[in-house]
Amino acid sequence: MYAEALIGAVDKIPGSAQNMTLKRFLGVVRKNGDWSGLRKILVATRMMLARKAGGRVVNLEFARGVSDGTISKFSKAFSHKDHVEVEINPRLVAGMRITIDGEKELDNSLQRKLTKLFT
Amino acid sequence: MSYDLVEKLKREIEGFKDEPGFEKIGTVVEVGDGIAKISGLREALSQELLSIEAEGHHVPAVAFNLEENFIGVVILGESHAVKTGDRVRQTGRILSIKAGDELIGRVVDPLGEPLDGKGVIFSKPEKARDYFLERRAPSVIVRESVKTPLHTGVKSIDAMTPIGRGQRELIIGDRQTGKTSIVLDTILNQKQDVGRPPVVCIYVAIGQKNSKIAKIIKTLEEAGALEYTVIVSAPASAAASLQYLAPFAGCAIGEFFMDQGRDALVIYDDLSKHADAYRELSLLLRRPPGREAYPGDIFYLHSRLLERAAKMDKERGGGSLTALPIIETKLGDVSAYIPTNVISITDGQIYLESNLFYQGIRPAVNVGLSVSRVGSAAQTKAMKKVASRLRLELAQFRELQAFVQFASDLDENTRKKIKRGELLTEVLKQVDGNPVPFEKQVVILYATLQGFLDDLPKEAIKPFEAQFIDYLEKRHRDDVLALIQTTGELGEKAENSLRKAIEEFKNVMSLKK
Repeated sequence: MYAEALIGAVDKIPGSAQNMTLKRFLGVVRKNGDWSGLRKILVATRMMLARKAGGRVVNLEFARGVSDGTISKFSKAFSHKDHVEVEINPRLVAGMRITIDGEKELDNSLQRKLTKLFT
Repeated sequence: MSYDLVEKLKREIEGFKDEPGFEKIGTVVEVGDGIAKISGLREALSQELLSIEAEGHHVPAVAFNLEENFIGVVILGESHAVKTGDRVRQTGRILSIKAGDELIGRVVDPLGEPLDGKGVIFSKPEKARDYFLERRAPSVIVRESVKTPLHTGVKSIDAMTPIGRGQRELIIGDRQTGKTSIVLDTILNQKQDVGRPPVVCIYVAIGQKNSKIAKIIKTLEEAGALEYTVIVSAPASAAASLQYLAPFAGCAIGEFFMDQGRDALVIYDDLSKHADAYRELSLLLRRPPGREAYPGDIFYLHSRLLERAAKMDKERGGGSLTALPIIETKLGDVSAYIPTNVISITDGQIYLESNLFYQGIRPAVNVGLSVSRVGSAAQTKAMKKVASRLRLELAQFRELQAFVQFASDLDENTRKKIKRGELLTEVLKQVDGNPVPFEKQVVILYATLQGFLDDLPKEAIKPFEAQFIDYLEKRHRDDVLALIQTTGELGEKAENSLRKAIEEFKNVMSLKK
């Protein structure tokens, strides 16, 4: 609900006043005692924005830092409407993992292979 | 040893095949109190087993609430290891337990993990079979009517509220009225109840104190009853999710034996605590509360569990699953929500009363309020013949009981009825942990109801009973006790021998005096 309200409010006002709206929004969340759920709100907002634009939220996780060139190469594999995020996750040990909309994943990490081998 | 392990690992690594592809996943967005909310996994099924990838290990969970955007799950393992952001995967499996003969004599948790420190349960896991915790109850077509008795060893129950194999008989009463003692006696009695196929017992402890469970295990072990008993333990210290699953696990184990064509008895001790655990889970999952804050499907929860008790027809092996659920009432209030629900589901109830217990009438069975709707069809002919008058005589005694203190002013007939009632009440008393085999119940009830004990004071009944049974064991084992035990009947021959034996014994007793 917060995500829906935030997107609705930001849509109606010009770009210059959007920062102010965002501050007010954070104030409302804090006042309502929902600050602990802020991460969830942001994830939902990101998802809704991507869907509104006709795309998906794509999360690229690498086990260690990779060059900008590699990142842009991967990003190009997705539509320009998709919201692509890059994260470094050492728990993967080696390799990478792609998650789409938090519901589908392609896991090519060594961590998964090791887990699969020993369970 | 280490060389073997390395070689084994090498072989596994060499043979490892990995075909990565897109997989459906969910994410934990909220967790607490053994419950988690998961986003994603839109295709998860209700009651499906999910696997949460917590740090270092996988934690099992069951999908409970399938909502528009989230799934409410009940965590079955270490819930403190689960945190928000953890990934969740479907397993495509419904919750099940491994069942097999090797479970007998063991203490397990509702997921089938051993709790008795005796090591792995199945030496050959391929021989164990997976049994779903939730399974549809057998249909009417595959059932047969209840016709074989399940003797409890408790005189007042076997004589007046008999239980048949495949029946569901509720044991209801306040705390400390001897509910667990009755079911323990029933388990102990199966060892001495020869002449019928043996019964595998499953005792399910739900929300009990660990000390009480340990005591029960010790009692059964010492009596040699653990040799045919499985204990499913979900103590008060276990998570509500495990307490909720425990009776279903016990039932699944019982169904395994039933499907083998054997007779099984499952005891749910107790369903009040089970209802409380389910209420806790439901409230945490934010399901709407109903009467006494229990969720709307609390009746269905217990009915679908108890409906699984059945006597199967010959084509399905002829096995049976008898259920003895226990309900604890508060201050004798049987009209509370859960007691009325379970009373209406079961085929009768054994009502234990605090007042009787404190008067020294133990087991404190209220014979007026206790009923068995199908058990009489399963009662042996011998017991039926003997006990047919018992209920009537006790009912007459109860009516006249108020006049006991004015007995000297009453007419002869009334005084006789009061005297007989007092004798019968005395005969029906027995200590816990000492179940009486059915043939011995038959002879002592016969002696009382035929008036052979009318000349004895009620204080002399217990010594008389013990000595008389001892006398029969020594002098009339074959012509009375064994005959009743094997045939299940009190035929003319056995009856004549019994009458003769009683007279003989009374003569011996009078000579001794």
